[in-house]
Amino acid sequence: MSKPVILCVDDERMVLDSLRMQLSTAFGIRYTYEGAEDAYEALDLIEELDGDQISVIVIISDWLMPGIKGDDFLIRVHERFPKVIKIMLTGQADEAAINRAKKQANLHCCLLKPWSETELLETIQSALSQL
Amino acid sequence: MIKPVIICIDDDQTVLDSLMRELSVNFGDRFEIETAMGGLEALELVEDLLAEECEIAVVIADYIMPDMKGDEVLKRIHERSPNTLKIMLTGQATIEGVSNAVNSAQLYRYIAKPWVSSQLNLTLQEALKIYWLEHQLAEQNAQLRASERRLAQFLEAMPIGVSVHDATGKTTYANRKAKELLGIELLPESTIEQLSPMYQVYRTGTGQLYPNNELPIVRSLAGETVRAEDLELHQLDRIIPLEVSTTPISNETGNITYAICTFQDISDRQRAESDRLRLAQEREAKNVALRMHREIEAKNQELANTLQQLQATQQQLIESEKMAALGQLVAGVAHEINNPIGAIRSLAGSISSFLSPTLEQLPALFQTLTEEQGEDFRALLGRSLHQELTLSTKEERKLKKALRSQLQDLDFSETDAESVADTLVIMGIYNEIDFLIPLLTRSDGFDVLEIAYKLSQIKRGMTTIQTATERASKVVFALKTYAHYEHSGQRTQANLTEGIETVLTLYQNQLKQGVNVIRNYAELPPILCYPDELNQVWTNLIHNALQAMDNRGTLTIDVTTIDFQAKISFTDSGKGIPEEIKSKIFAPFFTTKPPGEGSGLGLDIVKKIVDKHQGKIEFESITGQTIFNVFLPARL
Repeated sequence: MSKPVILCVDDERMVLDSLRMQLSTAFGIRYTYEGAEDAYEALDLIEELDGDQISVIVIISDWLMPGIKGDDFLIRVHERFPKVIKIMLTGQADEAAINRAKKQANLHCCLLKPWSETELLETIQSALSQL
Repeated sequence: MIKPVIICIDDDQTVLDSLMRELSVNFGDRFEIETAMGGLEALELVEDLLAEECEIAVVIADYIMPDMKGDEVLKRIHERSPNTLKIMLTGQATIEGVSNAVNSAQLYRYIAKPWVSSQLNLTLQEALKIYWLEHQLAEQNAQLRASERRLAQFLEAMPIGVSVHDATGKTTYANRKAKELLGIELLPESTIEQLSPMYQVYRTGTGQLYPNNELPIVRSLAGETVRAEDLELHQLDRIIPLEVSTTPISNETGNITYAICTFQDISDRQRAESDRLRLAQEREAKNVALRMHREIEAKNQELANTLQQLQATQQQLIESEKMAALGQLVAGVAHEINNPIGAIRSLAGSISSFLSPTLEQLPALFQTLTEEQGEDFRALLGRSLHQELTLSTKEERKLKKALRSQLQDLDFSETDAESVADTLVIMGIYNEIDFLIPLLTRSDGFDVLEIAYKLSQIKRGMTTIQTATERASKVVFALKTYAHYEHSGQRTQANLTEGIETVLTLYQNQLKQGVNVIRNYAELPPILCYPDELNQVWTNLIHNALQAMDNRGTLTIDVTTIDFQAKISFTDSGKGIPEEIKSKIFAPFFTTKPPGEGSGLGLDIVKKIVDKHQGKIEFESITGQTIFNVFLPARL
C-alpha cells in the first residue's frame, strides 16, 4: 500500500511549490505531495494514481484556473471519488462558486490567499482526523 | 400815340380846305386830318400811311374826280384797308356810282354836296364811333384769341391729361398729355358706350374693363363731380394707374353740355407710397430682427453654459466609466496580488523554519565530510542553485519516475528511491546523479541530502520571494497607473507599448484562463498623447476582446507605424460582431449585455478619446476573427 497523496492544484507555480514545501515540512513522509497546474492535468493524475492503487486523500485547489474552474473540478472529483477531502484555496472569493462546490462537491472549506500556515494545517488536520 | 387819320379826297381844293377846317375843329384833337387831291394822290397817301402803320379811320371822297371816280377810289381803299369807314361826299352821284361804292367798298354813308356841317359832323361822329367800336372789337377779339392761344398752350404744356367730352361722350378736346396717356394721336369718333374699350380703361386690380356707367366722365355728363383713383389705362407695354377728376359744364339754361376730365399718372405717387410702406416695413422688420437677435444671444449664452456643463459631465462620465471598468478588474487584480503574496508568506515561513536548524547542523556536517564528499556536497548545492529551468509538473513527474527507477537500479529501496527522487527533483536535479552516490550511500546520507535540500530551498525560496515581490509590485503599479487621473489636461510623451503592457498586467487573471497573447511590437517612438486616456482605450478593447472569446482563444496585439501614424491592432478569435449591429457599436449607451451589466459607454468613450488625439478607429469582424485598429498620429 503506497502512501496516500495530498494533491495541490494551482496554475501559479510559485503557489504550488510553496504549498508543497509547507505541507511536506509539516506532514513529513506520511504522504506524497503532488502538484498539478490545471484541472485537466489533476484529473488525469488522479486517475493515473488510482490505476496504480494510490489514493488521493486531500486536494487543495485554486478556483480561477485556465480550463475548468475550481468548483467544476472539485465537483467532478467528487463524482468519482466522494471520499476525497476537498479544500479550495483562492485569491478571489466567488460566493456562488463556493456555495456550488459546498453543495455538489462536499467542499470541506474555502481558504483565502494569502493563507495562514496555521489555518491551512489545522484545516487539513481536522479533516484528516475525521476520516 | 399816332392819331388815327381821316382822309378827305376831292379834286376841289376849296372843298378840301373847307373840310379840313371843319373836321379839325371837331375831331382834330383825336384825329389827324389829311387831304388828297384826287384819287391817285389819295391812294399814295393811303400807302404811305399804311406803311407808317397809321390807322385810317374814315375816308371822305368826292365822286366826280378827273383821275379816278370816287367809288373806284373807295373800292381800292377798301381793298387796302377794309376797316376804314368810307363816306362819299358828292354833288353828283349816280345811283350806279353809289351802289358800286356800297357793294364793293362797303360804303358807309353818302352825303350830298353842299353838305350841312352839323350833318357832316354827326355822320362823322357816328362813323368814328363805329370805327372805334369795330377797332375795339377787333382788339378784343385779338386779345381773346391770344388768350385762347395761351390757354391752349397752358393746356398742352400741363403734365396732366385734360380732355373735354360733349354730351354724347365724344372727345372734343384732348391735350398733349391726355393723348399721350390715352395712346392716341387723333381724337377718335366714339360714343359713351365705347369709352372704356376704346381707351382701354380698366378697374385697378381686377383686370376688367371699367364699367361704363361708373366712368367718371359718364357720371359727370349726368351731373356729378367725380374724383376716382381706381382706374388704370392698359397700354401695350405698361399699365398706367390714374387719378381722375371730372366736372360737368352746363350752359346758361342749366343743361350739361360738356364734361371736363383731368387725369394724371399716379404711378410715381403709388411707387412713393409703396416705398414709404416698404421703408416702414423694413424699419419694423429691423426692430423685430434686433429683438430676435437679442433673444438668440441670450439663448446662445444659455447653450454655451449648458455645453460647458455637459462637457464637464462627459468628463465625469469618462472618469466614472474608467472607475467602473476598474471595479470590474479589481477582483481579478486582487487575485493577481494575492498569489504572489501567498507564496511570499509561505516561503518566508518555510525559510524561517529551515534556517535555524540548518545553520546549527551545518558545522557538524562539514566536520564529518571528507574532502571529496565536501566537493560533492558543494557540487550538489551548485547544481541545485544553478538550475533555473522550470519544468511543468507533468514533466517533473516523468523525470521523477525515471530517477526513481535509476535509483532502484542502484539498489535503493522503493521507498527510499521514491523519497530521494522526490527531493532531488524538487531541488532541480533531474539526471546525472552519479556524483551523488557516495554521499547518498553514507549512513547519514539522507540527512546530508536533507540539509542540502533545505539550503537550496532557502536560496531558491529567496529568489522566488523576489520574483513574487516583483510581480505584486507590477500589478500595483499597473493599478496605480490605470487609476491615475491627469489633472493638467496636458499631453505628455508616452511609450504606447508600456501602456498596453500595463493593461495586460491587470488582465493577467483573465488571460491565464486560456488566452494565448501574441505580441508584435515594432519600434515605436514616444508619442505626445494623454497616456491615462489611451490606457482606457486599451482596457476597453482588450476587455471586449476577452469577453468575445470568453477568456479562451488568441489575442494578438500588433503595434506598427504607417505614414507617421502609430497603428495599434487588437485581434481576437472570439464570436465576432453581428452584421446588423456593426453600425451601432460606437453609439453611446449601446450595449449587447443585459441591463445592469456594462454602461454601453465603453466604445463611445474609446471613440471620443481617439478623436481627441486626432486619431481614427476602425474594425472588421467575422466569426472567429475581429480586428480593431487604432491609428494615432505620431506627429502632433
